[in-house]
Amino acid sequence: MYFKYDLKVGFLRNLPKLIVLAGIVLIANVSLRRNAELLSLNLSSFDYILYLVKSIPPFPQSGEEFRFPIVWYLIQLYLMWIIGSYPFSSVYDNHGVSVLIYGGSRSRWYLSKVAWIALTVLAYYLVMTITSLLFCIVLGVPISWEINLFAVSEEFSSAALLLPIVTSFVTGVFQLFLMTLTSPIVSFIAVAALSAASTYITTPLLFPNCSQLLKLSAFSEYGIGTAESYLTLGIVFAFSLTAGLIAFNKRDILKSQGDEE
Amino acid sequence: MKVALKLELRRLFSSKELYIAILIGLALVVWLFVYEIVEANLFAEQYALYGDKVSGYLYYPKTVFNSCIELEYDALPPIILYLLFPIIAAFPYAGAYCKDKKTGYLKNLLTRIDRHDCFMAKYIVSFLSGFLVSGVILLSSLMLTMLVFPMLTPEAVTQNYYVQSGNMWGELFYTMPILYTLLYILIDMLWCGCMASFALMLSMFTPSPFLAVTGSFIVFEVLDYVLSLFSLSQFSPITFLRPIQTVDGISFGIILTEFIVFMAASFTAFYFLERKKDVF
Amino acid sequence: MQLDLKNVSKTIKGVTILDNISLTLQGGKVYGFQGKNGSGKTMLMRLICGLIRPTSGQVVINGEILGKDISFPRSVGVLIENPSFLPEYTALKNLRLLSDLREHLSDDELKAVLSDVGLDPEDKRKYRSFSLGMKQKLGIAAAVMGEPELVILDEPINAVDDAGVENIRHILAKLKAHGSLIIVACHDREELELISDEVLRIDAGRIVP
Repeated sequence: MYFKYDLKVGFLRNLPKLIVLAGIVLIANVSLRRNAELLSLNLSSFDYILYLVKSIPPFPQSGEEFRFPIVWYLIQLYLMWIIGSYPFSSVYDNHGVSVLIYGGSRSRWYLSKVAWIALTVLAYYLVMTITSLLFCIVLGVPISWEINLFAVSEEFSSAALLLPIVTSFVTGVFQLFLMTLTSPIVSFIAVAALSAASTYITTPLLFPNCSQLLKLSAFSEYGIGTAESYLTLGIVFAFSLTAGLIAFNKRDILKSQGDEE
Repeated sequence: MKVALKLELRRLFSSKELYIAILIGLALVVWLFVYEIVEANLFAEQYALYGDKVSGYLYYPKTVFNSCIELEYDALPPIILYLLFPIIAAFPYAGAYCKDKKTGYLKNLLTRIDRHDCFMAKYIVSFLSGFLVSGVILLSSLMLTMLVFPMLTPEAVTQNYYVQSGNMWGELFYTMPILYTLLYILIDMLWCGCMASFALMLSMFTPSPFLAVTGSFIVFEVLDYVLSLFSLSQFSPITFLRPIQTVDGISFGIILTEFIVFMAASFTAFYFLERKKDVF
Repeated sequence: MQLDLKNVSKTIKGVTILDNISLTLQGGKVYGFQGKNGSGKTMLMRLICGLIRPTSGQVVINGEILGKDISFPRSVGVLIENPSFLPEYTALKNLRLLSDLREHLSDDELKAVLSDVGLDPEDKRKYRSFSLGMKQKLGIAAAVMGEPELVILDEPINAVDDAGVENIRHILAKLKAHGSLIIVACHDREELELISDEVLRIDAGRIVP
């Protein structure tokens, strides 16, 4: 019941925002193409997709200078922005209150928002992938699943490639939990800061690290293990979901809170 | 005008968002301060034990001019602070106009004070909010480091300072570093005011305080990214606001011109266009 | 339909908003809540809806404890404070969106509700262009559609024209005949006494005789 509403109002209405994402992805692809030509690199279509989530190798263990991974950060930031703009946008006014009451259950309302986050994340990565693939098709880049952009270690498994999507989903659920306790703006600042911190420090405790491919042991000597990543994400998800459900069930829905937000 | 300004200032100083924004910044300042002290003590202990074999080069103490949040390069808190400045600056006040429209408070104001005064006061206070928040954060960091670290005049040969002599005001940094720092803090404060005003302009287009406050942050991040692709990072506010000047080519002319352009755009939109709109 | 409030109190930031309220309300009747501004009428309504939790005491609806057995009343329609809907949708589309959350009402049923409150069901205008009275009427339509067992209306005749007020009286009479429990808060004393079977006066968070 709630999910149908979230699909119509939260998801379909937010689809135009993904056009901006396509623009960002196109710009990133153009930039990569230019660099590949300068450096005479033969990149496949998969490289263009992975470029968006590769970030930088672990610092300082890799020995490389710290360069802020703006492509990765911007893509994650925009997703956090989309996630922050919907769940609590109208819960304090009469419309949001009606939606909440008519659906009959605070827990189902909350779980529906989690499902909405999952759908949004999937659509987000789908748009990224399709945009990159279309770019490659138009420019005659070979459509293949080879990874030429960076080295792949012996520990590589396809489960590692799903980590960016899973991490984005878990980050979204964590953001939703923070929104329940504070406000959409404060929760956005918190996850933005967490993601920024994760570019500098490589540890599964800063779980946005798990969505940066070059921070994983599948692609980097000093990286985080895939199993370790999934375990951390599982714990964060379980905590965020449980704590968020409890917090939302106990929360008073007052108009004054909406005015303050 | 005085009445409108007084009213908006009172609102600003009684809003919890102002203090939350300052708290976020101060948390980063304290985090860096503790990190610097721990690092300085650690290095001093190692040096006492092993002498100059510690790192193979001449021991050089931590000073104010490589430990405050403005001038530290090799730590996380300044990265986070300068990245989040657009949103920290916008948080105290940018959402207020959205709330005024939504709650009908704007109608109350406009039936009691002149439109010109109302919108001008909002714009001025919005600018002041970003100006103040950044000022408190940056000056706190400077004063905190001054409590424990020496104010040694920087020496480029030590390679312990991140400002290069070829950077904007590089010579000033190596001759009068405190003046350099204070001038750059002033630039940061003015620019944070500008970012807050830009967010106020965005609040014209959306009823959601969330979109208004975070929208300017997204715009500046996208701008930073696009400019970096064309090797024009020196034109990005997020890049040139850092006193350590991580890219070459930053100039006062660029900073001033962009400041004027952003301020003019936000002022024109908010004061001239929004002021004339019907209020329902 | 039976609603029981058992020694219900609500305190927010040290301030007692509702103080030890005990009530039993039956379906098939209209109860009017009357009181000064800030007396706690709206808070009491929010409590009955399940939007806020009592600091002490219980709200029991048809034997089920609110906040324990159920999050919200199973069949309820509410209009609390200012109505709000999605600005880019028409009145019909807004109602359809809400009705799909609970039981799906047919377009004919939704159009009938719109006609009952005095709105044109075929009106293609978006909600953002509605007058205050029209918004209020749509709010009432959303609250009464599907003939819920519990109806809570806070200041329903605000900004509504005379014909609209007459419509609202008819709607309330219909719901009452259907067995719904209706709670109305209104500043117009005369109107409240006209439509209510029983008027409850609230002062400083207490029910006063």
